[in-house]
Amino acid sequence: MPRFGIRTQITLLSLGLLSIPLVGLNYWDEIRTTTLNAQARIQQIEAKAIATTLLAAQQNIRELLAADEDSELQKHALSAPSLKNPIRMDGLFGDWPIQANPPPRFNLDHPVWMAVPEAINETAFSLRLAQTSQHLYAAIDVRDNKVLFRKPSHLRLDYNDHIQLSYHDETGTLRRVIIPAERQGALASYYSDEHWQYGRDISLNSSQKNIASHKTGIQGYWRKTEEGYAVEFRIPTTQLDTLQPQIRVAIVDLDNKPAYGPQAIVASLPKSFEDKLNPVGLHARELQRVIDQLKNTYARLWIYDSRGREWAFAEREQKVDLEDLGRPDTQTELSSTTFDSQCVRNALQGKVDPLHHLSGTYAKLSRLVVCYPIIEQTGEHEKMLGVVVIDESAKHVLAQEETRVRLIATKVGGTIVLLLLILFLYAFTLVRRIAKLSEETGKSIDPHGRIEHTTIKASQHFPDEIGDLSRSITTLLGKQHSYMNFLERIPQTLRHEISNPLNKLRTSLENLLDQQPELSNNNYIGKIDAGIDQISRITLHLTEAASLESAIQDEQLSQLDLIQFLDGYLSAWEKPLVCSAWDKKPALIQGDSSRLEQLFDKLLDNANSFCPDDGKVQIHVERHHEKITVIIENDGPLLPTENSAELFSPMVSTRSSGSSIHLGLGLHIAKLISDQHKAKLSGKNRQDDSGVVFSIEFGLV
Amino acid sequence: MPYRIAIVEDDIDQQQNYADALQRRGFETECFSRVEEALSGIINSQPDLVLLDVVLGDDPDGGFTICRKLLDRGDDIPVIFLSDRSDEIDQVFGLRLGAWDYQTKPISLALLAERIKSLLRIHKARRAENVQSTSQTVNAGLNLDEEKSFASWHGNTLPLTLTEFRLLSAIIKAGPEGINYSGLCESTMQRMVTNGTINSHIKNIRKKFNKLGPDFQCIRNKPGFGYHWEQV
Repeated sequence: MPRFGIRTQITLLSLGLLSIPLVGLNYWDEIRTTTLNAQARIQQIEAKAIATTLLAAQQNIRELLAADEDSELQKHALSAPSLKNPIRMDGLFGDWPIQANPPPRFNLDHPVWMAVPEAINETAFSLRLAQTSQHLYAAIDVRDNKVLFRKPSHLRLDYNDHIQLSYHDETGTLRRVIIPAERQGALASYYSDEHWQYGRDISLNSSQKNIASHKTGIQGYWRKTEEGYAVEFRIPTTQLDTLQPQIRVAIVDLDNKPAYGPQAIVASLPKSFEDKLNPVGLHARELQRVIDQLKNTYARLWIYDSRGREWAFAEREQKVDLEDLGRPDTQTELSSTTFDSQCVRNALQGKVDPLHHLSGTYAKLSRLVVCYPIIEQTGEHEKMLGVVVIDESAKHVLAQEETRVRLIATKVGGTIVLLLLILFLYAFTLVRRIAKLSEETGKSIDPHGRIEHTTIKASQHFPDEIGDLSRSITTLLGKQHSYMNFLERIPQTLRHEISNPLNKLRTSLENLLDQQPELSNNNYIGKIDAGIDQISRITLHLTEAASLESAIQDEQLSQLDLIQFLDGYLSAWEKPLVCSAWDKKPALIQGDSSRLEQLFDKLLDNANSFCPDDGKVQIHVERHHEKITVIIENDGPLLPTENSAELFSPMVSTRSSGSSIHLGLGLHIAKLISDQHKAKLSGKNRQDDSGVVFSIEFGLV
Repeated sequence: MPYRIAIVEDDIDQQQNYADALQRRGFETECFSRVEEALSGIINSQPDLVLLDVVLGDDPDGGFTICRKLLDRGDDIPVIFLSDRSDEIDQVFGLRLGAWDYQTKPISLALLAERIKSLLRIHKARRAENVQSTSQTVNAGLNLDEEKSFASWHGNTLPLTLTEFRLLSAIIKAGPEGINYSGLCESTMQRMVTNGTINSHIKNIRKKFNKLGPDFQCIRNKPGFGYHWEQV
């Protein structure tokens, strides 16, 4: 099974925490949708409230919005949208806002007058209007292939190209103003008589005050263009009738001989309305007051009449909305809030689904536009008077929520990161503790299964499960150690217990033989004697290993020549042994000759006892770099392969050698001595399974 | 006048066997099986030698207690421990208390009797300070008094046990050829002695030499054979 560590497990589990931000993102989407829906409903209610308020509180609203509703003249109504930025009076129209629809263009399709009706004359003009709360702005682009300027000597104003401007003043009086083509620069304008010939002072009905003809209050600029000329001017709205604002523009084109009269007159109204003026959607002060109170509540508000005239407009003072929307399509944005937008058209058709969402970049909702119809109930009849439009940017609505959510997200994110760090630290601490516990537990038992120390210090004082485990292991090791001690003391205990009855037997037998010497030749007595000796020897061997273990702990090793030792030792060896010839070069090791003697006694005795009569025991020496290995081989039964780890354990005999008694202590003693000499003792079967091989590898000094 | 041997053994059968064997060899015996009884009996009768078992009844160190109290009194009585406790620490402890010998069971009664005789002879010799020793073996700094089982190294007393003295004496007597393990075993006058036991005794002898002077290397091991004395 592949290793799947706790570190990996906790890392994978911790990754699950990353799902929290995803859930948070979904939560934010929910909040966003809910907030925007709530805002849309509020806008809808507000629009409805405005519409209702207008109908209830404004006595003249009906009059305002429904003026000339059936008139053909309304078809020629001029729109004057609100200006957000001031316009520079320079005869250039680049600073005028982009409009969804091109400005109305008037040409000879409906000429007022033509000197030569059949002549080709391309005189035409476009008229653009806009308004602020203070002024009505006008931009007139005239196409005239020959501009005839006024001569300074001329008193008459109509002997040159000029513009005839008509409007009703604040008192409802018709005012005529001529704007002659005099020079490029600040334009001149004059109140005119009813014949449009001379300048004429006027008197105000209210104050009986005369006003000079040139003090029209109109400011503007006259500029010559390639196609003709352009005029840009503004009239204070205080000079206009805001109840039924109307204005008429006519271009009078003169070419060569002024006395012959104009070549053409093109007006903003067809000839059939020669005595009429174009209605203008000038903001009504009463309506403006109503929505001005809400101007800081929403990004933008409009009131249109059913003809599309803009009667009121308000805008939040902070200019953040459109700029901050990241809009990809300004045209689309604008169209939504102009009279021609689908939203307004739907409202005017009485559709009860005025909520209109606009999407910005990546189809993200950017604005909420509500268009609510102003409907007058007259009995069972409903009369559409206009529409209230409230426009708000989604970003503005969400800004506060976004700030809160961002704060929460930052806190949650920080907490998650902190939590992850803590988790990782915790995991690493846990793993380190477990590893330390494992390492210490491993070291508490030597390779031969002997318990070296019984106390596990790792995590011992921790009040958790690992601490419990550490304490359990300590308890377990303690018990095991006691048990091992008991097992190790068995031979000594056994010897103690056997010694007294054995001594009783031995001394009784001796006394018996002393008393009856004739029994010394008795066969049974001989066997009893041999049996007692055998038991005595067994008890002696039993204690030998235990005594050895404690004895060798304090023994000091000294330098000795292993080759010289082997030569001496083997020369005194009396049992059958085949010695190979080996290199007689000295091999110095750290050792104790009497212990080595004991070691080789055990190994050679062991080899001899398992070697059959027709077999042989061999010994030879091999050298490899800094090592010297003594190898003892014997024919005979093989070592078991399944419990080779127990080969050197005490009281374990893995082979049968017939009648010989094997307590399994010989190899154990050999192992203890080889460990004392830091030598490596190992046993294995021959490759051809003809016997076993024991080898002791010593490190050379 | 026969020697009187006090036998302190809580096992009546073994006690009887010791007594029978010793009496047959001309010794007088008196037997005890408890600590207090043995102490008062020995103090009263002042035997020539005491055989002490270590474990007496429920007292695991009863023999040691008796030995200490006797020798604390200044009684000059040779003590031999006969015990089933074969741990080296027990043997060292017993000998340090002042016992002359420490034998582990099972023992040979014949060898025990020989040992007792030998000890009594040595004891007698040591008591007679004015009697000049007749048999001494001198080997370049080493002085062995066989009668008193007394050894000295360059004039300093070697505190050897009886067994250790016998082993050293046997090695010296064997000369440069040395003595093998079986010869050494015989010299201990014990029944069950292994090569390991001999090696253990030799280590103790070497330690005692080394205490008198470092780098003692005269007792040399002949691997697989035994030991010999090599004068450096």
